[in-house]
Amino acid sequence: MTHGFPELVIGGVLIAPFVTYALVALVIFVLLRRLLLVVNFEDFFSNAPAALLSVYIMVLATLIVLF
Amino acid sequence: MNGATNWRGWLLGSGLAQTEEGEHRRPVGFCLFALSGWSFGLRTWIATMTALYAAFWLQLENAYSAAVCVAILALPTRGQAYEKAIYRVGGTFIGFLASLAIVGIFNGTRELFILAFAIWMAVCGYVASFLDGNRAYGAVLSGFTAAIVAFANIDTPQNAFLVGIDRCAAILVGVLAVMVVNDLFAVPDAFPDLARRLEETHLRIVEFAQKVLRTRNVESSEVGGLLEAIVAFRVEVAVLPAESIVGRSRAAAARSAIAAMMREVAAARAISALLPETGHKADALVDAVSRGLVPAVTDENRNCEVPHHTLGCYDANSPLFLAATAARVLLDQNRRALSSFDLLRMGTAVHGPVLPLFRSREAALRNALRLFVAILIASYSLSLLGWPSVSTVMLMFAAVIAISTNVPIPNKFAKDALVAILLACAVSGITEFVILDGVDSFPLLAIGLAPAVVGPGLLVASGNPKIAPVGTLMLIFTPLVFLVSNPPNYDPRIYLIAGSMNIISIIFLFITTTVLLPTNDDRKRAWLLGSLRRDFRRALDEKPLPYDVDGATFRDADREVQLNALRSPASSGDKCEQRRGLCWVELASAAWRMRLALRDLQQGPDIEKEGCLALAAADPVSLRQLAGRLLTQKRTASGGNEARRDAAAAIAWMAFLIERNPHEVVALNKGLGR
Repeated sequence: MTHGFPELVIGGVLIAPFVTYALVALVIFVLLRRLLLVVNFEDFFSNAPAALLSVYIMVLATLIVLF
Repeated sequence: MNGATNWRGWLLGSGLAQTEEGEHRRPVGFCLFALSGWSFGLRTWIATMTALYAAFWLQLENAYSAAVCVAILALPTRGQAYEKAIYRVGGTFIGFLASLAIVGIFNGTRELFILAFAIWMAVCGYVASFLDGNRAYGAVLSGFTAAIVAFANIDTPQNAFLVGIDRCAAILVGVLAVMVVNDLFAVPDAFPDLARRLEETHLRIVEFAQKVLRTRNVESSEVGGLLEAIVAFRVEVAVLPAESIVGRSRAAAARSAIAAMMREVAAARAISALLPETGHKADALVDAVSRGLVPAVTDENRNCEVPHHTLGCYDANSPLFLAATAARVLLDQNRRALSSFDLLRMGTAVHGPVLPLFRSREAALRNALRLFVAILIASYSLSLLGWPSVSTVMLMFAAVIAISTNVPIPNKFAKDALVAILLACAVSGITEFVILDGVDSFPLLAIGLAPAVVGPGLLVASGNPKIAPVGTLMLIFTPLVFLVSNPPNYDPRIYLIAGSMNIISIIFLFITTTVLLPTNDDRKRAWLLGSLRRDFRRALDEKPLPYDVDGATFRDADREVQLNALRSPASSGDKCEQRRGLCWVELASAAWRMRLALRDLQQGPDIEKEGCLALAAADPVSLRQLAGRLLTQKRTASGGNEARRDAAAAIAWMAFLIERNPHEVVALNKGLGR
């Protein structure tokens, strides 16, 4: 069965599904940062920015797979 | 030392090397440039190529915009790049919406269209004049995005929406490329270097205060240097929240340290003015403060206080009481700065003070007017010329004129831009027609573009104030002249038109910054004096003041730094104005502090009114009586003992300054100064 992608239409303008996923992932990521702050997430990694980037990509990939 | 060694040292002693590796380590070099510079250049090249590849893959119309975006965000630390990226995205989006509104409303009327565009640019320039750093950049970007989206489609309004979407997409691609490359290549954070420099500045302040206590004298140039160094941290601290999860807490701690350092300098200056009045009576006080004032927390100084009971014994109007109060502020703020550094290192959540900027309203209005007139003249004159591709001139001109309103020296910016555009044209021509010469595969394009990106990147990384700005502008201008596209065009006509139009834009900028409403230092000085007069009157008003002590101290220091930055006046009359300015800064600052101390006393409006009336009358006797009365009030009176002492000291300090400068306070209050 083919996975369908939801398309967002604002005022007749078609927004690519990836943009919607990326924006929702960004919102989730911003909210998730508060949790990561509590657990001192950045202290576990030598390159914390790369780890944070990976978290964002995981959230994005999860959204694409699930919805 | 021979010339070659000089040249080598000039490049190797780079700001970027210092930023990334610390001042005390000699940077390792390769081919005249520091290794950190090469790393920066290579990183910028990789990010540029990533952005171009993604833009080609997405079939964006203006793929070169993504490369320009990378060049604009090519900054030495992650925090700087991320903060600028946020304002770049925000500014572009706002500019896009404004463009749609301008195109939609003034579609059929060219004159009104140009007028609306000029007004929008002026509004953005006005707003940017009240901001600093990347916030100001975001504001001017909102303005010139309208040039890119709306003005470029003045004859084809139906395309404005698509061009805007294309522009937004290219910028997002550029931003993402920079972010991913910075993250993967572990670009240094701004935080470690910033924390180190904050602590070094604090050490300088402690040494300055010790010197003041020892010599009982203060050099204005030394104070000016310290204030300038502290004020400059404001922009740098703003990048911390974008850099890491704990960035917001670190920024708050850093702001707290900045406010504490600023108040330490103010207290040391007050002590230097008061100690000569006290004679040998203050020796014990000086000794106690010297022991307590150290650049690190130790067991000895943790409990070192200027004894409060001693403060209570003094007459409110004796210089010794004022000196002791200032000494207590100095020690308290020293401890506050040290604890802020601890919080900064740990990233503990803390509520930091707001550090407001001082910006002259007149300067903002003049900037806006200059932008408005420049855009109108350029638009109409280009329309009358009727050349093809004149919109290219306007795109570049709108961008550079908007940015020029927010740089310290617009003429220097115009000269740098002229040099950079000529070099960019040469580099683009050589790359396009000599190095690449018709190749159409992306890997070869990437290799061919490497010298055009890495070279200016090395100039940027050199940190030299003469060549680094030219390098930054070259990085930005080269893709604009090259107009790299997929499939590539190796059309000499396109290259010549793009190059010549961009050069004309920069010549327009050069002429505009030179002849159109230039602002000389005398005028800036007059604006600053006017603002001091307004602020002094605000202290006498019944309306509550908008800042707390930290905010007011920082804003005053920012204004003093701007006053010091003006060129030394040549004539004796102007020198007098400069001295008067510094005196007025002190008086206005003392008036605000007195008003804030009375507010914090919470003894109702009557006492505030009494203080304001005595101040308005420039009557030191009434002020001294009020200070004495406050200090001798019973403990049961509302307001704590500390607040009463602070208020008494603030009022007595105001009286002290009025007695020293009786004519200036009258001039400041009644507008008789000019």
